[in-house]
Amino acid sequence: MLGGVEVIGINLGKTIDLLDPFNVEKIGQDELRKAACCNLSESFETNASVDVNMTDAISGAKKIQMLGLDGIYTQIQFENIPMVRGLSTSYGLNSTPGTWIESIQITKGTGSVVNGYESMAGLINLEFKQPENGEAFYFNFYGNKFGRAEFNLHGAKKINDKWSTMSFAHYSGYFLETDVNDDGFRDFPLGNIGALLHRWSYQGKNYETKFGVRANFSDQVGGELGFDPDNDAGILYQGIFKTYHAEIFSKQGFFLKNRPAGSIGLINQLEYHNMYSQFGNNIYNGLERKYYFNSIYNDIIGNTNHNFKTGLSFLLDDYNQTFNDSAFTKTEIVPGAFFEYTLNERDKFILVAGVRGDYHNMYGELFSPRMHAKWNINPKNALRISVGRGYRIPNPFADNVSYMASSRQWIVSPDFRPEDAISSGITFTQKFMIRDEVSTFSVDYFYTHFNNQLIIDMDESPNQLYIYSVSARGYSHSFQAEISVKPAKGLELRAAYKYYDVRSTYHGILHKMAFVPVFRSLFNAGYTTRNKKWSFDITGNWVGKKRLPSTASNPLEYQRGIESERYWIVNSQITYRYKKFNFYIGGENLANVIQKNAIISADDPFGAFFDATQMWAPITGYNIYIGLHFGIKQKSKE
Amino acid sequence: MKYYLSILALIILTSFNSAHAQNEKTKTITFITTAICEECKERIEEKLNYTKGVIFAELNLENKMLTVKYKTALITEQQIKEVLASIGYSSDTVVRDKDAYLALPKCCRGESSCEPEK
Repeated sequence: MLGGVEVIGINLGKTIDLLDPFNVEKIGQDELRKAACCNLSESFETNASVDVNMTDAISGAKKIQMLGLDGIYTQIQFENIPMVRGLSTSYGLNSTPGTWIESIQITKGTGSVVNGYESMAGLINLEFKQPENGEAFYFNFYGNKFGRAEFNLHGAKKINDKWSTMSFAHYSGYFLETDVNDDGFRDFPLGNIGALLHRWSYQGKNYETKFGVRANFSDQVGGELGFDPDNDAGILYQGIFKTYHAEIFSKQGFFLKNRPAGSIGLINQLEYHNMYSQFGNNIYNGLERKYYFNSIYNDIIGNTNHNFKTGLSFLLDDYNQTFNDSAFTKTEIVPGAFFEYTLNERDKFILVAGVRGDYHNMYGELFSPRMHAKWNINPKNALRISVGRGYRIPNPFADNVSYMASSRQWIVSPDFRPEDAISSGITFTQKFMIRDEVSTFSVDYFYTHFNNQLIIDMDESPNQLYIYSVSARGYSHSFQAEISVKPAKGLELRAAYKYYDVRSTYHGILHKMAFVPVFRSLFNAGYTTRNKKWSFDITGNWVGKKRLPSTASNPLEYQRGIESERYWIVNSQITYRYKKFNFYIGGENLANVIQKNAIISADDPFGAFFDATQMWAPITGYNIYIGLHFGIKQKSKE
Repeated sequence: MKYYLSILALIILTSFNSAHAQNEKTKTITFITTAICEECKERIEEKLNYTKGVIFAELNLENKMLTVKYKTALITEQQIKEVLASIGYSSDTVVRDKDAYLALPKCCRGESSCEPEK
């Protein structure tokens, strides 16, 4: 098993394992298909731990939040290989097709030191479908009322008992100009997104490897209605979004002959990412070239109660960025080393103590100790605690591209420092039986304390965006309680309640984080008939009031409230299965919530007060979609 | 009065009768099979759930018992067991088709472990 995270079983819904020392929520195929659309950012709609928000009213991109903290603080990887980071932070989720994903593992708080120093609010690791057991042929179509169409195609082939290969293709596009909120702007940019993945797997007796290439592109145009790039440039407001991403990756695992429990894992990744984003007169261009290496030696000390992982990592990350008429280049070189010890007392008590040190060529030593412990008080529950330090090197422009959708003048402090936080958490999970079915209750509390934070200050002035480092008090308190019960065969009910208190100090004031609701809750009901032909699913997301950045100094017509309204997002889907086909029809935002006047000064997009970043609710109203999955499993030769 | 009573009795009797007939329209049976693993469960449930007359089929892997609810007008218990035999599984009264059994994956014949490969 490469890397350390093991996928258990197939076709799982949502589960929390009681064995794992890390509090890992696993989202499997059943859960992913509950909300059939479309890409990774939309895969969390029935999940309470990850919140999804639209970033601005121009690009249509979505971002996640964990523990009430922006998605940039969550480390996102596939099969333990870095995925959404660096320049791909803004749009990386949107270019990862959901149907390629076999399962997603979500860890709150800091992750293992093996994966690097980055996870602060959480760690999301996803597994794409594997050549050994992925579908021999799979096709998916999705279409919705806004003129979005998606096609996914993939297939796996076993070449012999050791080699197998799998290819994936994705295409999606928006074809209709929509403006539901009637502000004269496209609600979604029109254009195309494409993605390809081709991977190989070799499984021998003492050696295994996985390697492949992954590429994607997007080319989208948003902004004012009726925009024609040939005639209207400079007259009408336009948003142009282009990304080109290519990477090769490999993982290798060696099992040592003379040490039966010993293994060596190697990860290599070479990546090219080029993005162009234009919001009116704001033009951003970024190029990132990256090489990543990680090595893991895994063995036992004496007996299997004592396990350790140790290794070296290396990152070479080269950036060339321009924003309007300024250019920024940097080359990050980060060698690192880690050691992680695991004490396992008959699986009942597990302690993982890890430490890693990295040396960053621009910011010096980064030292991240981490500790995770799990205790099964009885076989049906698990108490977990975690504490750890994480870092993040900010990319002020790439991380915050969506804020370019305004006339705010960007004032970025050149001497910002790495973000540095200590995250600690306690989780309690209790399982209980109702009519032979396992139900789960869990409650968790996480506290993240920032030693250093990069502030995106929208409060100082509605005409400026200040970005600077502060080491004053900044924190996130996050509380979540969730219950999932199966009261009857085929029926699953889930409810979650969340409380966030996220604040940072700047200009001497402890500010509540803008756009983060203090209260949220999620309700989900799913029913599958006993012959598994029909599934019905409904999800309600209640979102409490959010603080909005001050617009008090704007002229009266460009002022907005200091708080958003509460609202419900209701999604529902019906699936019908006929042998190898799945047909689905669904609706999103069925309560038809629309944020009115989402864009400030929409009538004067080149004026001083234009701001399309003050988003706190959907701008598009309800959506209806249809689609189908068609899959043929690989013939099992075993 | 007597007339009304007999009408009432008739109504009660008929409703009883039709309730009885209703019960006969569908039937739920449970019997043992030669299924072994998750792969078997998938094969059996998929085959029977898409067999005309079957309302649902559910295999309990712990005791290998198969529960089938079906419409008696469309299919019989014997026919259900024959469908099962045609994909390689025996039940308490019908012996599996030999060719279909040999065409099953190894794990469904108990020749290899059913654990998914790592």
